[in-house]
Amino acid sequence: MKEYTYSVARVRARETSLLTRQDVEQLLAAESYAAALRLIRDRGYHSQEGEDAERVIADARRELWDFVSELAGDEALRILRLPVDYHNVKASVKAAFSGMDAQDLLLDGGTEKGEFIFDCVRRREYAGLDPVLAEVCEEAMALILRTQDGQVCDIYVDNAMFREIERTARSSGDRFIQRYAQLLIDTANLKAAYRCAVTERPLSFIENAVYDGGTLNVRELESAAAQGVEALCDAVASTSYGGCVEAMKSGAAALEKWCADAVADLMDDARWDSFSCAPILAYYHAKTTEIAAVRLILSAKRNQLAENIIRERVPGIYV
Amino acid sequence: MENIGMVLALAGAALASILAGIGSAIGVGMAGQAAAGVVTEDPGKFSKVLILQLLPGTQGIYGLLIAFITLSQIGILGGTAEALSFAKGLMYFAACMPIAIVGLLSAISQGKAAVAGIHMIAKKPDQMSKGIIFAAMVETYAILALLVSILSIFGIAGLNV
Repeated sequence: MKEYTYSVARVRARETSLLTRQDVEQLLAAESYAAALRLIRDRGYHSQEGEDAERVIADARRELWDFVSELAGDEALRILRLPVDYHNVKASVKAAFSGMDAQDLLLDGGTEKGEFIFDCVRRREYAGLDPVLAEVCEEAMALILRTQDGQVCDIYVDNAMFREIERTARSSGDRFIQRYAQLLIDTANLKAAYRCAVTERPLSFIENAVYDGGTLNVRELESAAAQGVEALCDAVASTSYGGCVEAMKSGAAALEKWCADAVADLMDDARWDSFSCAPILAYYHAKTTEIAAVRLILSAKRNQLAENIIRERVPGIYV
Repeated sequence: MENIGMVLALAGAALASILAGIGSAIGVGMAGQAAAGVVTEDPGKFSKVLILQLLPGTQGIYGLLIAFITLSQIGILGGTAEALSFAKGLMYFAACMPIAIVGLLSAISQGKAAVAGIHMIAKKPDQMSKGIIFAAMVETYAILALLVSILSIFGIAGLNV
């Protein structure tokens, strides 16, 4: 297995520049958009192309990808890149189906450039694309043309992504990557089952929406979701994810937060690790959360929203 | 086969320097990777991480010391080598083993502790002394093994076997 001694040391040194809760509080309390932008510039967020918030955020994301790409091994990096790829596939297929441009919907950081995926999907010409991704694009496009249903297409692409994440995690042989992949799949299944239960979907739909993998008993989860939220809560209560039952009873936003916290808890374990890729994944997760928080605050400041409204929506941060 | 005693004593001296040296090389190398990582991000921490990188290097020096003493005791260094009995040769070999084996393993463990200490310096430079203490704790066992090897080698010289 690859050793990450050098990489983890660089990550530890970078962790000191992550925003603290105090920094976020300062940002929240900033008088204006310009003041918030000034504060964030002092903490290392700046763009060569100007002082616009979107440019600053885009540069921060690019810099994070450059840093992580330099340090993480192939499998660890692939686990992070796959969700970006499959997001780009979904955006490209839907945009191509509706005859729109996907430019604003595409994300950076995938194994393939978002623009290239969109171009392939638009032309229905997949040469040069990763064979697995090409097959998914082709099938997703055929599916959306046949069903005219974006949700069916999303479910197909998500399942393909989870299959690839599982395969990558297995081949990595790294316990942390495997735990991370399992958690991604399990939390996605919990959310999918919950959404289906709330919208009273039939079992045939739920069987497609819930991915057949992860550590949860998928059959049990599907049949419980078909019976409603109460039955789903009972089924989940006896699993290792029993803690999310209260969140399920509170609503979709609470469940979403519980799942995000579960991933954050796993990343917290990486604090004590010095030799595996876990701290790199944890740093990526922490920085991504931080960038999302900064983007949210800047956007809210620009629209002059009240501090308490922003505060409710700012995600928790690592440091 | 009359030189078998001398061969065994030489093998002991060689293993003391080889194994303890390998351990130190691994430990210092490991700590060096972590130190390079920190210095890449913050060149100002060079002197702080250097101390921790050097700590796992002492086992190699202990191995070398034991090898020197053994070579000197059996007359190889002074050019006064005489035939050694099988029993005496085996005793020298056994006397070299504590620093050879403990040196190898403790240097690797100390390297890991030094890496963790370097990571600590990366995040909290003011806690440097604590990082050094944690890594230095491992040194105790290398020193104990060195002591046993030295006392044994000097003790063997006076034995008439």
